[in-house]
This record gives sequence, structure tokens and C-alpha cells, in this order.
Amino acid sequence: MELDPEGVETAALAAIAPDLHGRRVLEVGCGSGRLTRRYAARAGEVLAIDPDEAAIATFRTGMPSALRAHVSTQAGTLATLGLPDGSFDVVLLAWSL
Amino acid sequence: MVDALRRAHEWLRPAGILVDIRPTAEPAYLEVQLASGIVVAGRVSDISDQAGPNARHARADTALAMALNRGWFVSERHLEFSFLRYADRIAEVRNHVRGEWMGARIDDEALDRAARLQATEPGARLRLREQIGIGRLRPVRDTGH
Repeated sequence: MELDPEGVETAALAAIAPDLHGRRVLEVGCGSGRLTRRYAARAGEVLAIDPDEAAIATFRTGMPSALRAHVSTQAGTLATLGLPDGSFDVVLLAWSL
Repeated sequence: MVDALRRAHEWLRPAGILVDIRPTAEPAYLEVQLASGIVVAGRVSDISDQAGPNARHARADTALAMALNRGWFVSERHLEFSFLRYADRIAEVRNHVRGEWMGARIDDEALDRAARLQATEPGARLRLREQIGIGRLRPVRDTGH
């Protein structure tokens, strides 16, 4: 299927979070990176997580080279992720709550 | 779900934001895009009251309301929009709902109606329309958990 060819989701995200420049983002529920690819170029550093290891592997394999420098991925959930408090400027719950 | 929001609260910097993007509890619809306009063929339903996307999204709404009531976040802005998935064949729609939307079903009657409508016009496309909410929330500090 062709998903959101009009880019409505990306526009809504830009309206809600207009200033991602230089921001550290935690994306929860990244899947194979469909949404990440659409905003990550505007962000500083992105940690994208998803419990589906196969989806994470697909994301890693297909990640555009321009994003590799500042997007990292990890298989896991909020419950399994050990992170220090106050680590992120943006937590993005991507279709995952 | 509430625990996920608690962790998000902890991991955010004081001036950070939580962005919550997900479908609303409104059902998704199967539509046919014709030259004359959009025709609704049917809707995607939960397989039961407890299992399915609509029930799941309603539970997420409840969890978010709890996080707001506990003073972890304040809501700053909320928008809604239609998220569209396009397909050329009924089988694509059926397989997508079966494979991607856990606990959801789409009636054969709706699929048949869509197929009949699509057959009336070359180039007619099928689409699933889902209502999505996106919210920006600001963490509140010193509330305790």
C-alpha cells in the first residue's frame, strides 16, 4: 500500500514540533523507520527504538547514508531501555502508546 | 501505557516536549476514490470489545488522561488529521488489515462493495482513512510519582 503520499503526517509533526534543529530525540515505536526518515534530517541526534527486531534490522539496512551519522537504532521498549533521566529534548511516541 | 508515560517524563529534559502521535478511537474507513468524489464502502471494526485497534486507542486515551491528572504533563497543543493508505487491489487492503492491524477486521460486504465501486471506473483507487491525533505535552517537574 502507498502510505500518506500527501505527507499530511509530516506536516502535522512539523506543526506540533517545529524546532527539532539540534534536538536530541527518542522515537518510541519507529518500526522500519517510515516516520523517522521523514523528520530525522531536521533533528540533531535520534535514538529510534522498537520491540520488533526484524523491523529494526530492516530500518538499519535501508537507512539513507545521510541519516546514519545522527540516527541510531535499538531493539527494545521503554521498559527495557536503561537511560539516564533528562536525556532527551523530545520523546516521540510514534503510534506506540 | 501509564508506565511508558512516566518513563518519558523522566527522560525528558525540563524544557523538552513529549509528542504523542497515534490513531484516535474513531474507526478507520474503507473508501473508493472516484473521479466524482470519495465513496465510503465500509469501516474497519474491532474483532471484540476488548481486542482491536479502537479499544487499544481508547485505553491509550485513558492512560494519557491519568498522566495529565497526576501532573506529569500539561497539554500544549493537539491536532487531528486523516492518514490515508492507498491500494489498487482489494487483496492489498484485506492483507494489510489482516497483517498489520492486530485485532481488526473488515467485513466481506464492505470489500465487495468497494470492489463493485472500483469496477465502475478505470483508475479508481481504494483507500483506508484513519483519523490520527498528534499532541504536544510539556513535562511538569517536582510532582513526584
